[in-house]
Amino acid sequence: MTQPLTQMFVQQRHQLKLWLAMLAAVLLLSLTLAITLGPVRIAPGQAWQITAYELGQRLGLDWPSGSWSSAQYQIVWRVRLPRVLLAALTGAGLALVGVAMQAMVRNPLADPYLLGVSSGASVGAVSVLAFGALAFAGELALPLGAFSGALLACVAVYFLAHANGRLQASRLILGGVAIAYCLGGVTSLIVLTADQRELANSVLTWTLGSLAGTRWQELGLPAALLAAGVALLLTQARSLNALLAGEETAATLGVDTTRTRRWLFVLVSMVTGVLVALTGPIGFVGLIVPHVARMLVGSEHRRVLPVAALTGAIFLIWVDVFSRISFAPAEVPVGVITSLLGGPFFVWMLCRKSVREKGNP
Amino acid sequence: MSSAPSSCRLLEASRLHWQTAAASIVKDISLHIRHGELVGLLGPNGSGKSTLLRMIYRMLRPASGAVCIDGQDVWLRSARDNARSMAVLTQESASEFDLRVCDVVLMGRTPHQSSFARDSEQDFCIVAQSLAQVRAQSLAQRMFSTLSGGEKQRVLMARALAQQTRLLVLDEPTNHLDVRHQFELMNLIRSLGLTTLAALHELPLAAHYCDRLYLLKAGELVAQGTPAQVLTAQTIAEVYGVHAQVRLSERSGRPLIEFMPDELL
Repeated sequence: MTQPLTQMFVQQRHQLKLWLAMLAAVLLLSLTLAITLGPVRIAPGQAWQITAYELGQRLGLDWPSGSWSSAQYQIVWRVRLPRVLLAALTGAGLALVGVAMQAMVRNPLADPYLLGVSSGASVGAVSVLAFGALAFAGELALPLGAFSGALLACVAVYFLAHANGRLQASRLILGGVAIAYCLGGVTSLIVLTADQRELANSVLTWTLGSLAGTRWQELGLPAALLAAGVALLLTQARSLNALLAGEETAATLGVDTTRTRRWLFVLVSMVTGVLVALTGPIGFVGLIVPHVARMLVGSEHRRVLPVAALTGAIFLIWVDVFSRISFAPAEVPVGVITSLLGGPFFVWMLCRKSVREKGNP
Repeated sequence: MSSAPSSCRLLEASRLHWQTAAASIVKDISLHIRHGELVGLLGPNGSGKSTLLRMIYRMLRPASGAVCIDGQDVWLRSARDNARSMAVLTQESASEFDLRVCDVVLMGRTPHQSSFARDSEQDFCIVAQSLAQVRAQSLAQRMFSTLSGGEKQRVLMARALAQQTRLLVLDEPTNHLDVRHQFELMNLIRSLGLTTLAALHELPLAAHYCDRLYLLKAGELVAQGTPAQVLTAQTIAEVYGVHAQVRLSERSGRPLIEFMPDELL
């Protein structure tokens, strides 16, 4: 009797590997195509040659320089590649944060942007820019400020959502929206009353969420954080599964729910904070992508987490490409496009949810 | 406090007390469960059954008193250690996230697994055995949300079995089930032969299946003992406010309760 079930579990593992391989291939293809697309067309082969050449240089290999102009080189290596990579990192990071938050509050509508975590990060980041807060942290002041703001917002929303010792979905959403608005106001206030005029302009663009002007040195921190985050979440995937079944069930399955929630708060805030510090708040990625990942491989976290990360990377790469080229020569901040996609998506999820609730009371 | 715990007692709860700002919910209740017993916890809505159970399964820290399993205080052990000796079926509503039945049952292995190891062959075997024990092998591939109420309870029982504990704590497991499925689930619980504490609403089920009963009213222990000792016309009237005639079944020697709903107290 045991044989078929074991086989099924093993088969599930193979299926996951297949999905991951496929998504990794799509990601690689997306990276390549995203570099080639833009006002200046670059051939895919050329993009790879330039990248390989640069990487070779770093590794001390004296690879032959190919036939590309210095303009093409500048565009690929200095402009598009770092930007596309940051899009991938941000998409993956926001998707993971979405999955983690949704498990934490047992609600598929949770998203760092929607629940005010991104707004908290914005307030923290803007405070650093306008007042020079956290100056002792040097280069890290901005991410640190964003992290602190995100953590405060995260904890505030979580406790607002509780009534009578239970987390209530309606309170969660309303509390999150209230905090998001409130903190959005604070951000605007800081920006508009700041002494430096230029700050207002640059920050205003930043608050819309944009990947423009990414530099190589900005990629290290999010990449390291993302790697650590994925590793941590994967080791805790069973706890996340248990949390989906409910707080009490998780506790009786041996999960230390208080501790799990505490490090989830920190992780969510850190990833959101660092990403918001770099790109500004990009909304709805954490809502859309986990949902798609669950449709592909189900809700089990050891499957959802890696699939969501890869899907998120692919998703944001393409949204960014769209934001770059569809309104050329003007460029729309990527956050504007994700909001345009995310709003209707959220409404669709709400409708589906109410239909389901009517279906089985 | 209480007398020295006898070695045959798996669970020993002594003088548990719980209160909110407004009122005492559970007042000074002691209970114990011996190895192999099926013990029922009875009482009307709001009598403190669930609160008492939550203290026993280490969800609520009692204001005073202690819960010991195998002589060890549950609060001196980690949630994980506890989950290896006690499996719990709570009344928590199903999640909005749908899992496959086999993944739900696999969750029962959580307290036995290291976070760095993947599921072993042995885990899969235990999942299969647990599903077989509740006769739900055929459901393994289904999505949990598509199951009927009775099937869901059986699958959750399988998850509890996969925890491989010696004690089973069930909070109103027959809630929302029709008569036939209530009997099916209780037969299943009895056939497992595990030491079990179950909060129950249906007095006939308690009378027929349980070895011993505890009866609560307004947070206080009103009666305890065998079904025949606890379920008398007098206690039923006192605790539930319903007239009933109770006689002993000729076949099982257990109480048969005939309610008289036209004459409420």
